[in-house]
Amino acid sequence: MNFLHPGLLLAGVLAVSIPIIIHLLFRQRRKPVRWAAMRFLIEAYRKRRRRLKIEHLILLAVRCLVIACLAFALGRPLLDAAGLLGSSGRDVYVLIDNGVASSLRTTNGETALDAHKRTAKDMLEALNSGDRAGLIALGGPADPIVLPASSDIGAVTRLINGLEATDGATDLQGALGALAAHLESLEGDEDPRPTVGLLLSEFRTGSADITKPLISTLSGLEGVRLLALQPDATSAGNVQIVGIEPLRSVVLTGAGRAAEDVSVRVRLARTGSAVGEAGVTSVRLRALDPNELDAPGADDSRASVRWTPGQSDASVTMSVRLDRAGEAGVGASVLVGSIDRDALEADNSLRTPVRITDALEVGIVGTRRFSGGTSVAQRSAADWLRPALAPTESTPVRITDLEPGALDAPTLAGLDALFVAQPDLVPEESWATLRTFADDGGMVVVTPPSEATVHLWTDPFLRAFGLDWTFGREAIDAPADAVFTIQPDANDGAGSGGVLTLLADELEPLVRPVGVFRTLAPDLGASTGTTRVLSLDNGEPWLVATRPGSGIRGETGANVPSGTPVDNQGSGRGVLFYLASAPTLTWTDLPARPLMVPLAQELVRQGVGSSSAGQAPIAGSPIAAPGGATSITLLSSGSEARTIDVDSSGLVRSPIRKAGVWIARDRAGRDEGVIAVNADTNGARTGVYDPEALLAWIGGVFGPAEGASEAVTWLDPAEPAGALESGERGSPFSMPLLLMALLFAIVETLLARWFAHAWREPGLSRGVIA
Amino acid sequence: MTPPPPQAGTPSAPSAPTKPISGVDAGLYLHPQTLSRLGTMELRAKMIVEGVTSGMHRSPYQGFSVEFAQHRPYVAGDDIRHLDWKVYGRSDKLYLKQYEQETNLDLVLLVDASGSMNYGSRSFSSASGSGQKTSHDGRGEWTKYDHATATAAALAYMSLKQGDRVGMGIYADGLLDSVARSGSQAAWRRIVGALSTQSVDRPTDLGRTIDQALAKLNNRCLITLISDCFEDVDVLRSALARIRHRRHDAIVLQVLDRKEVTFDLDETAPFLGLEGEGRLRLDPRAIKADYLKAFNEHRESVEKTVKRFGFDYQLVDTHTWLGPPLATFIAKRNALVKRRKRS
Repeated sequence: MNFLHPGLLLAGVLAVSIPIIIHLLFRQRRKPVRWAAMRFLIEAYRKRRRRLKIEHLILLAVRCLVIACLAFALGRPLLDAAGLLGSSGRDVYVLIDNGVASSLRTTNGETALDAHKRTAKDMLEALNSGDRAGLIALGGPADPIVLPASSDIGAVTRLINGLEATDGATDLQGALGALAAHLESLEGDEDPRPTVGLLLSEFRTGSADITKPLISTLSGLEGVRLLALQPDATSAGNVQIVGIEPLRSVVLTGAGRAAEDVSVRVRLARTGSAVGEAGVTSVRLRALDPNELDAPGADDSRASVRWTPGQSDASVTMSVRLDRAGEAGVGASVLVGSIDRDALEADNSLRTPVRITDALEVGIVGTRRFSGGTSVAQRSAADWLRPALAPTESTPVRITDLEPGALDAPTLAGLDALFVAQPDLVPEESWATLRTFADDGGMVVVTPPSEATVHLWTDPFLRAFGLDWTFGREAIDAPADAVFTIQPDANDGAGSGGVLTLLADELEPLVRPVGVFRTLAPDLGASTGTTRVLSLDNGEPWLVATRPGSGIRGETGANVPSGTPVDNQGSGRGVLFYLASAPTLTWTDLPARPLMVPLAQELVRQGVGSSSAGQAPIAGSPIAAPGGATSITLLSSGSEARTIDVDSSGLVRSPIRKAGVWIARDRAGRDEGVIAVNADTNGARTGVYDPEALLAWIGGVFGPAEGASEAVTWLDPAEPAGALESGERGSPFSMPLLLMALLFAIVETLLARWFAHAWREPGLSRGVIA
Repeated sequence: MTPPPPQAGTPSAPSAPTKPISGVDAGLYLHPQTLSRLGTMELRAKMIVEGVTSGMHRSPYQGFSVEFAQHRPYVAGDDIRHLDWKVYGRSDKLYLKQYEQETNLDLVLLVDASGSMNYGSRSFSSASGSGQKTSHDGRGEWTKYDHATATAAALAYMSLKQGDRVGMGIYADGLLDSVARSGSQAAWRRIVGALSTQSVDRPTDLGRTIDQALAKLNNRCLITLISDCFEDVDVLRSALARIRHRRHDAIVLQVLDRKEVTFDLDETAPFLGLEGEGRLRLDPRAIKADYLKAFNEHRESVEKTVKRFGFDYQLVDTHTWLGPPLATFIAKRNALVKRRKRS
C-alpha cells in the first residue's frame, strides 16, 4: 500500500498514542477519593471487573480506530499499488537536464534549468492519485535521485526544486540506461504499470551529440512512452575557454626559486549563433596559489581575441608569472583563465594546475663501471644519458645512479623519473616495484640493454607493466651499409599536446641526421593504449609512450587523467616510454647527434609533467587522484570544506559535478597535488538541432526497429501538463476512511455513554435517606 | 419525673455559650436546634434496667417501696411485716405483698471511632452548632464521626437532664477510651471532650469492643451503639446477642453520609479505603447499581438483625439536623414503652 502523504500518515499513526497517553496521564494525576464504604465498592467492582476491563479495551480500541482512520484518510492511501484494485496508476520518470548547458540564461534572465523545473512541477501536479514519480538528473554522470518511482509526489517536487545545474555534460545515455536497467528489474512484477518518461531538456548541441547514436536499451524501455520537450529553436551565442596549455606542465625554477614567466596557450571556441558574427573577446590569465584562489588578480595577463564571422576556434599565447605561486607549500600553481561574461557562465573560466619544483630527480638504472672504459665506443647507455639529462651544472635535473639489483620502493620514493638502461639486469621481482613506481605517478623510460644478444627481460617487463606488446628475442640490425632513419609520428604531432611539442618546429632537422643501426622494436599489434612518438623509416615504432596497464582488459580507461600530453589509457597514473634502441653507439648514433640532449630533456620534463603534474579533469568524469592520496578536499573560501575519499584503485569515490579546485592529501594530511575540475566545454555548446533529426536520434534508444521513434512524443510547449492529465485527482479511499472515522467516533460516543452507565436507572440513585 | 433545673455548664438556651473542654467547644456538636427539639423529650428504658438511685424507670428489684407489684404465698422465714392481712382476713391464706421499685437509667454510649467514620461530604460550617468553618483539627468536612459525637452529646444531655447516669465508650478495634457513668450535669461535656480528641483511623472490631464494654457493666443498662455498622452482619449479630444475653437494652443508631447512600459520583477516580482496604480506580457510574444493591442489602440486614433482638434501630443521616430524627425516634420508643407498661 502506498500513500500520497506518508508524513501525514506517520503523524496520524503516532497520534493513535494520544488516547493511551491521556489515559495514562489521567490515571496518574487524578486525586484519590477517600471512601468509607469501601467494602461495598470492592464487592461491586469484583462483580463487574471482567466486564469493565472488556469495556475499557473496546473503548480504547474504538478511540484508536478513530484516529487511525483519520490518519489513513489524511495519508491518502493508494491500495492499487498493492494489487488490490488493479493497476490504475502510472510510473512517471522525470529525466531533467541539469547539465552544463542547462545553465544557459535566456533573455528574461531565467536559466533553462529553471524552465525545466517549472515544467516538471506542472506535470507532476497533473498526476493522478495512483501515479508515482521518479527523478533522474541528467547532469553527467546521470544521477538517479528517485528510482524506483515514489508515490510521494510532494517529495519528488521538493527534490526537483533543489536541483542545481552541474558543470558536467548532459548524460542522456546514462540516464536512459539507468531507467532501462530499473525497468528491467521490474519485469517480474505481476502487475506492471504504464510507464512514462519525461525528457526535459533544450537539446542543445552540447546536451545531445546526435552524431553518436544512442545505445539501444530496448529490452528495458519497451512499452515506455517517452515525452520530450521540443528542442529550443533559438541558437544562443556562447564563447568558451576550451584549453589552457602551459608549454610545460612542470616548471623548474632551479635552486634559486627565481620567478619565471611561463608561456601559456589559451584556446577559445565559439558555438551557437555567435559563430556567424564578428566579435572581440578579452582574455585574462593569472596564476594563483591553490590556497589563495580568491586573491585579487592585480597581475593578470590580458589579451584580446578578434573573431571573424564564421570563426569558431581561436587561441592566444600569453605569458604569466609564477613567482608567487612558487612559494606555495603545495608545490603547484593554478592557472586561471577567464573571458567576458556571456549567456553561459560555466565555461567562461578554466583552471589548469602547473607543478612547480626547483629540480627533477631522475634515476638511471645501470651498473657502474669502475675500470677505465672512457673511450667513446665503450661508453654505456648510462654514460650517454647522464650528460644528456644534465648538460650543465645549472640544469635543474639531479641524477641518481641505481643498481639494477637494488631497486626497492624507498629508493624510488623520491624520484620523478627513471631511465632503465639495463633492463636485463633487473630482477624479475623488481619489475613489480617499477610498476608500482609508475602507478604512483612516476615516469619510466626503458631502453634495450646494449650488450645483450638475446632479450629475455621483455617477458617480465611486459607482464609487470600489463602491456599487450610482443618482442622478438633478438634485436634487428639495419641492412649492411644502411641505417634506419627516424621520422616524427603523425599521432604525436607537434603542437597537439605530445611529448615533443616544444621541439615541433625543429624536430625534422633534428631527427634527420640520426641513424639507427640496431633496434628491438615492439610489435604493438592492436594495442590502442600506446602512442608512437617517433618511428623508423621501416614503419616500426622507435619511441612509444603508454600508461602502465594499458594492455590489460579491465584496466583500460579506469582513471586516466585527461588533458595530459600522453592520451594513452591505462590504470597507472605515470607514463612509460620505450626507446627501441639503446642510446649507445653500437645501436644508434643518437648520442652523438644534437637530438640527444633535447630528446632527453623533453622526455623528462614533459613526461614527468604528464605523469605527475596536477590534473584538470572535466566535471562528471572519473577522477584519478595523485599517487599516495587518500582523499581530496575542495579549495574554496566561499563554501563549506568538502572532502571525498579516494578508493584503493586511486579513483575519487563519488563523481564531482561542479567545477572547482581540489587538493589531494595523503593519509597523514600531506599535500600530494592539485586537481582542477573544469566545466565540460563540449557539453556547453549552445547550437540547436532540427527537431526531426533529434526525434529520430532519441528514438534510437528503442532500437533500429521501424516506428521506434514513434514512442517519442514532443510535449505541447503551451500546455505540457496536458499530456499527463486524465481522470480525477485524489485518493479514492480518503472519503470512505473519513466516513469510517466519523462512524467510529459516533460508536465511541455511544459506547462511552453506555459503558459509563451515565443514564439514570429508575430509583437507582434514591437511597434510603433521600 | 421533672427534668432537673439547668445547672452551670449545661446549655440552658440555644444561644448560650459553652465552655471548652479539652480545648474543644462542646457547643460545636450540640446544636441549639437539636437542643430545642430534645429538651422536652424523655428517654425511657424499654426494658427493665438496674438503677442505683430512685428514678423514673422500672427496676427488677422488687421490694416494698411505693408501687405494688404482686402477691406471693408465705413461706417459713418470711418477714411477717409484709403479710397482706386483708387477704388473710378474706381468704384465710397467708400472702406477702411485693412492690415494684423505680430506678433511674444508666445510658451507655458506644461510639464507633474506626477509620470509616472519618468520612463526610457535608461542610463543617453548615452542620456545626456554632457555624465554625473547620473543626478544631482543621477539617472542613462534617464527618460521620462528628455526627456521632453530636448524637452522643444530644443523648447524654437529654439523659442527664432527666436524672439518668451516662457513660460512654469509644471503640474501633477495641475499647479506646471511656467516660465513667455519672449523673453529673457536666458529664456530657466530658463525653464530647473525649470524643472530639479521639483519632479516627483504626479498623473496627465490634466483638472485642462489646466484650470489653460488657465486662465493665455490672447492672443492666441502655447501650446505645452509634456507628456506621459497616462490619459484617454476623459480627453485629454476635455482639447484640451478647448484649441481649446480659439483659441489657440497646439502641443502634446507624450513622451514614448521604453520599454513601446515594453514590452520586460522576468522575472516574481512584477510591481510597479508610481502613486499609487499599486503592481502587473505577468509574463510579459503571458500578453504581451493584454498589447500591450491596449497600442497601447490608443496611437492611443490619436493621433486621437489630430488630430481631428486640432492640431499636434508627438510621441517622449526616446531612440532616439531628433533632428531628432523634425526637421522632425517642417519641416512638417512649410510646412503645408506655404501651408495654400498660399491658
